[in-house]
Amino acid sequence: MRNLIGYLLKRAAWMILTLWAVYTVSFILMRSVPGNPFSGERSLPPAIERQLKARYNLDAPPLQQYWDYLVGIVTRFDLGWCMGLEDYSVNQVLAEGFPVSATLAIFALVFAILLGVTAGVISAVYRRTKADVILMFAAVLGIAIPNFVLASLAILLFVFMIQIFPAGGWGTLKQIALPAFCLGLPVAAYIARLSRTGMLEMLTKDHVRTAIAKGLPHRTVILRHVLPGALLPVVSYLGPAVARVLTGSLVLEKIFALPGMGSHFINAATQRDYTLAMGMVLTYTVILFVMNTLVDLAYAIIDPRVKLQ
Amino acid sequence: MSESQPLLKVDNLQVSFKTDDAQVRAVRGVSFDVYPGETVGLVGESGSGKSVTNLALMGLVPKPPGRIDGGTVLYQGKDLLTLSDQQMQSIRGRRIAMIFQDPMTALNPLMTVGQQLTEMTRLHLGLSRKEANRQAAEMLDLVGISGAEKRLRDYPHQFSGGMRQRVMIAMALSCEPDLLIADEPTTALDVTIQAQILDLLRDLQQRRGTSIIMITHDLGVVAEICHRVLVMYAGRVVEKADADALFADPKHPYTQGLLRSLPRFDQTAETLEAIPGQPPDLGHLPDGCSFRPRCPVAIDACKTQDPALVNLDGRRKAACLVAQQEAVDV
Repeated sequence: MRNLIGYLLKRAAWMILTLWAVYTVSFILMRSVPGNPFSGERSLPPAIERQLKARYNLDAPPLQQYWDYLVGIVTRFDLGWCMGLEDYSVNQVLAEGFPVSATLAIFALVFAILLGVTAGVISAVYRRTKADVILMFAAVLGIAIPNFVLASLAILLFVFMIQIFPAGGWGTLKQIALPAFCLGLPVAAYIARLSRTGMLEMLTKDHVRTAIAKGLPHRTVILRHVLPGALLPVVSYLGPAVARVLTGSLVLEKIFALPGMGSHFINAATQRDYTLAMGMVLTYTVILFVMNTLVDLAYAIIDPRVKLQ
Repeated sequence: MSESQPLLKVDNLQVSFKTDDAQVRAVRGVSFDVYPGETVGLVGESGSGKSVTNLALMGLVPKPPGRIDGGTVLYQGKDLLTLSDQQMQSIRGRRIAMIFQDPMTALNPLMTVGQQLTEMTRLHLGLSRKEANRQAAEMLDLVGISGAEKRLRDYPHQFSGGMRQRVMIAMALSCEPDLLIADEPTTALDVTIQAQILDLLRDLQQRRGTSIIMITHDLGVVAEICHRVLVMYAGRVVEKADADALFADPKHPYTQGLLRSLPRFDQTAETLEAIPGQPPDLGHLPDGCSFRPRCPVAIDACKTQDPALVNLDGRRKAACLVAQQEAVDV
């Protein structure tokens, strides 16, 4: 228990350091890209531009901006006003977009884990059979096809040809299904390959032979003595998988017209919305950090030999 | 002992493995009996087929690439080689249990020792969780692990090698099997622990009357606990005798070589004597006797004739033309 608390404290300290680094790098990068939030196609009258800059503290010296914004974030969790979306604060945009993106990501991940692990176990247990060959061929396809291509195909197939799913929008399970499927499938394919490899490696272990020699039924041997060990590489992959789902949803939210964070992120980047982009980057950093910590914890729960440090 | 019915009767067992270039015949017609309460030693170099023989008894030969080519293994009138998976499951662990060579890898690292002990008794004996836990603690106690009840909650990596082998033994004996197959149970352990484990096995055997097949390449182990010995070479039994007789007067030149290669206290030689040459490639066996290329006493007939395992005197058999001739001459 003391181990665990120490570990979590250490992780928290690292997260703060990382966030600060990410903040600094993003701040510099955003401001070194040509253009600014108010440089549109038609140029604003100088007076208005001056007033806008004053409102968003852009007229201060860069170091002053850097410091003021940081203080606001640290002391009030205030990410400031959006520069592109009028009368919206960044916090508001995040509060609206986050639940959508999170729901989509969770559906996609759960789907990916269930499908991937099942496929991996089946193809490992029935290795070198037709089922194995078909599943692993599908997995290679799944890994190779980018999800925006998959999304276009899925829309063509399930929205226009067989009309079972709506093309976009948000709220009902039916509307979540298709984007979650497109987002999860490549991850499922990768998990399938990982769990198959893990299973095959575990099957050759001495302790599995011991389990068989104990007279345990085949199913028990697989589920109790082979699968947990085979899942360890899958658990390790969940960290990168979350990152993959998050970046994937940037594109998919656009395709399926979902009101998540992803579409805002892209807009923020193209419109030089300094504050919104910063809010997005920091949020994603926190999510990834938390997920990686959870993965480490899960690893330690499955494998008692692992020491958290 | 030998007047009663054998517990296990292995007859002409043949096992082969498919490799890229040949069908490797790992076990070539092995026959032996195991009587209730006795310890049979199975001795031979690596690759002599002793482990495969026993994996075949348990139905644990990986197929493919392995294949049972023939023979019978009679246990209580049933041929184990023809049983279904399900029927074998009720025999494995319950009637015939096995201890493996390397206790460091033979236990599941992700489950507590208690879970691994109780899953067996709950399955085979239908014990409740509570009963199984109590019985598991008793078994750990029996094999000399102190603080048994607490240690049930520990994981294998929290035990030393010798302790893990004790856990394996406790596990193997927990359903009171009739036959225990011990596949080099002491090879991976250091010498003092070896002696303890052997004592433990002998002691448990006397208490429970379990038969043991002891697979080993260590003749010291054989001398310590075996009643009868089978010497295997290249997938065959080449000599079969009571342990005393074998050590006093080995008949097969391979057995003689094995005994000569033991370090001895009454000699001060710098180097140990070894049997020259290598065990044959089981995929490409020589004609005639498979030991001939390494045999110091081979005669011309050995090149063409593959000797059968023949009775020399009432108590022993050897598969060697020279030994058989000598026995006739005497």
